[in-house]
Amino acid sequence: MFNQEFSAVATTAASVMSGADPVSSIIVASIFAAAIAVLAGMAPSFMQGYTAARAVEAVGRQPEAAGQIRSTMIIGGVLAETGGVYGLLVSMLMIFVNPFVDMYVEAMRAL
Amino acid sequence: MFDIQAYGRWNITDNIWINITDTTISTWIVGAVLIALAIIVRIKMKKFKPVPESRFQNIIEALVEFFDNHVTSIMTKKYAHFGAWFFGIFLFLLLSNISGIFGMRPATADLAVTFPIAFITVILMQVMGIRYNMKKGEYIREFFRPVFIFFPLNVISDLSRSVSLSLRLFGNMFGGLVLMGLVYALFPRVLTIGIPGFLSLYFDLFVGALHAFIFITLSMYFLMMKAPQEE
Repeated sequence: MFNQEFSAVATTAASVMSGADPVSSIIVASIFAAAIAVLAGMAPSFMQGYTAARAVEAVGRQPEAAGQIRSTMIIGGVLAETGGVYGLLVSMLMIFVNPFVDMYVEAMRAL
Repeated sequence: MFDIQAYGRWNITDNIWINITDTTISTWIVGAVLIALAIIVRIKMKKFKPVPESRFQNIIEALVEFFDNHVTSIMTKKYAHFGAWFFGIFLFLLLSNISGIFGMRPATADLAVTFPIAFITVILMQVMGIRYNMKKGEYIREFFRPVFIFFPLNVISDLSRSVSLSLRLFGNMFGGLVLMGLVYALFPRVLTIGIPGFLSLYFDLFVGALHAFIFITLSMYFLMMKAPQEE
């Protein structure tokens, strides 16, 4: 049972790696690209934490300005998040509306 | 799985189609709710007293006053009349964003909704500049800062504000939609009772309310960039 599944996976992987099945190669490459694009969310999350830490420091120094600091922090954090959202959008594009398979099929039809 | 479904299509001419999609229907529902709310408030307004007694009047007054203070704190009293437009957009975005709780596909998880709203902000920026900043042609001169070669860059930076505004809202709402869908698809059926509610609380309520608020706040900041600088 396990051996059968493993050999099926192995043959699929081999055909993908060798480029014998171009469509699945394209899909696998797109999924890798999506995973790499999502890594763009790493830096914004890190810096949002930094923003919150500095906001806590500011509130500790000046507790009476807490409301203004909070709203400024939220706006700054969301602005920093934009880059991460772009990465997310690229990965969604790669997975759900992948243009490269269609491009390959079109190119094959033209040949 | 996360595509926008079309329920009806009509062909107008060769390449122009009218689609009735998920987005259209949820926009209609949100619009109907907002209109009903407006009519109810208008009818009840006759019974409003100078010192509020009913709970309903308190809620409405708190909402309007909160937004009024927010607008005046950013746009100053002189331009506070722009707040009427932003209040409507804020309510529409807020209801659209949290409509995922009620099983609808949020209208804002569609670039065709968020981009026009963000583009209206860009048009309003130009209106602000032409209406209030035209003394000595300051609005035109702004485009040629710091030297005249920068004219195309300034035009692009104006236009790109609509892209960044709309993509921020769209990306966040669509990301939440996809994550919720994956949770429902991955977990066994027993675990999807109640547990994703907490995720929904975050992705629909918190992120939705936050991003509706952020959208109008950033729009107002963009508008104030075109206002005349106080000397």
